[in-house]
Amino acid sequence: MLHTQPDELSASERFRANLRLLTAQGHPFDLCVLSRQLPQAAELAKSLHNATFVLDHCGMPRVASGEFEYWRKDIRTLATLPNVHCKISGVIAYGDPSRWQGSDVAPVAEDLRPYIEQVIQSFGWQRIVWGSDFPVCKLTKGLTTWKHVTDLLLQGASDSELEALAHGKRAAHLPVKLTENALMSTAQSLQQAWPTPKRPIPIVMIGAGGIVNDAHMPAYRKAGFPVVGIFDENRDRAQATAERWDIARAWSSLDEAIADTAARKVIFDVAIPPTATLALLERLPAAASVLMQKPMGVNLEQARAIVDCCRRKQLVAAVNHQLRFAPYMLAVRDAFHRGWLGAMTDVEMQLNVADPWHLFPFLGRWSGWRSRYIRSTIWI
Amino acid sequence: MRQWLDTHVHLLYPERLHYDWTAALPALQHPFHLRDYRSEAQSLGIGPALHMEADVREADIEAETELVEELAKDPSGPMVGAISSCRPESTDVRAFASVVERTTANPLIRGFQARAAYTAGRTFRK
Repeated sequence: MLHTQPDELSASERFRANLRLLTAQGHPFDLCVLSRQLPQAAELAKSLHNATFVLDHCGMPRVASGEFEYWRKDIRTLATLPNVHCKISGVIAYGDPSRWQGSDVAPVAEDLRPYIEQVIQSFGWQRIVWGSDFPVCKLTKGLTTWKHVTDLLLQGASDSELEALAHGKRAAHLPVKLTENALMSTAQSLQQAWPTPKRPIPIVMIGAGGIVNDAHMPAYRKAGFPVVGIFDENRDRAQATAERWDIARAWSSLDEAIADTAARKVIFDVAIPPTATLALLERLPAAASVLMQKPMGVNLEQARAIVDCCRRKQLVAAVNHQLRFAPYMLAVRDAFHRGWLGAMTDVEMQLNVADPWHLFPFLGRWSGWRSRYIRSTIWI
Repeated sequence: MRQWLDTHVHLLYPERLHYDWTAALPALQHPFHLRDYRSEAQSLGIGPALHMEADVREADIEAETELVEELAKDPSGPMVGAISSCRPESTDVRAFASVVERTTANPLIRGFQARAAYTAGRTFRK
């Protein structure tokens, strides 16, 4: 299976039947495929689950062009298949040798590090082997550099991990183990931020209360998201907020805000009391993009009515304050996808809340309101 | 020094076998014999080693296996096995089955690969 063959070849029944015959006595089959063919490689390995496959050259990432995300996604998929092993080899030939002047191996190692670390993380020490790819490795730097790069990148590995790799052991029954040092250095690489848009969509601010001034505007400013105008039932408050945050327009009515922005794509940030949300959504143009404040109504009936409204008007709507975007949630999600946490069998949520009631004087002293407020937040 | 198993070594003997794919890669258009590999690998602690098929012409596949058998007998090492070429795209069921029978019975052959992805040279020449 290779790139000089048509991609669909490996999918043919004859090809699979022949591979089944070839591997029937336990001989592994090396998959030497281009990174764009990795999904087909995964399909093949999945359909022949009794055969052992060795993915050559870390799946041939195009290192010189910086290819990473798509390659990583495919590597993770392949690593979920227990019959696929990965060969740490070849990648030195895919780098850009003009970046590697002189005899210093460090820049070579840095260019290859993300790929090799990803392979080790995804496959674990028991499902990797090492190869020189001599003499193809000479197309850039050669065997000596490749071995030194390997040594440099594996400095944090334990003796038993190095033994497993050096001897090509395939003791799949041994648990995947990262050394504490390797784990700490790789933990820093976990995703902790959501990708930011290159051209953010302008925001129309509806509401000019405390949360807008204390949280929304500072956050938008920090992220560099443009706010084109603001509307509030209280004209003076809208005006004051516009001045404070340098917002170009303070509209005197919702209709004016809608008319003024009708020609362009905007996001309505609806930061008003939950009892007023439904009526406001009904007045927005169909198919508008809306970020709604929590809670989504004050009871289940209102929440359902809001959902109905969003569907009927085909609004692209979200309720904010979702923990899925929080750095620690993103990191846990990434760790799970890297296979560090094993298979997911159950999810337990534990919520530790400090209630800063003094920041929300409008809830008064009635504990029922407080509890309803915080619960609605959690449910959403 | 820790000895490293090298699972992927191509040795090129153009005086004996045809490597058509090297035409696109001048840097690989000359012999890379066992002694060339050994002299560099030994000092790095690399070995034992498995020969990876080097995409010879289909008619040369068995001759490549014979070559690796010879090399594996070299008392200085480090070749201990081979990953053999094969053509699973073959539609001749009987011929393929007989190749499988012969090759899987050979203790030197540790695995298979179907040609090599560097063949067209596209990987390296953007």
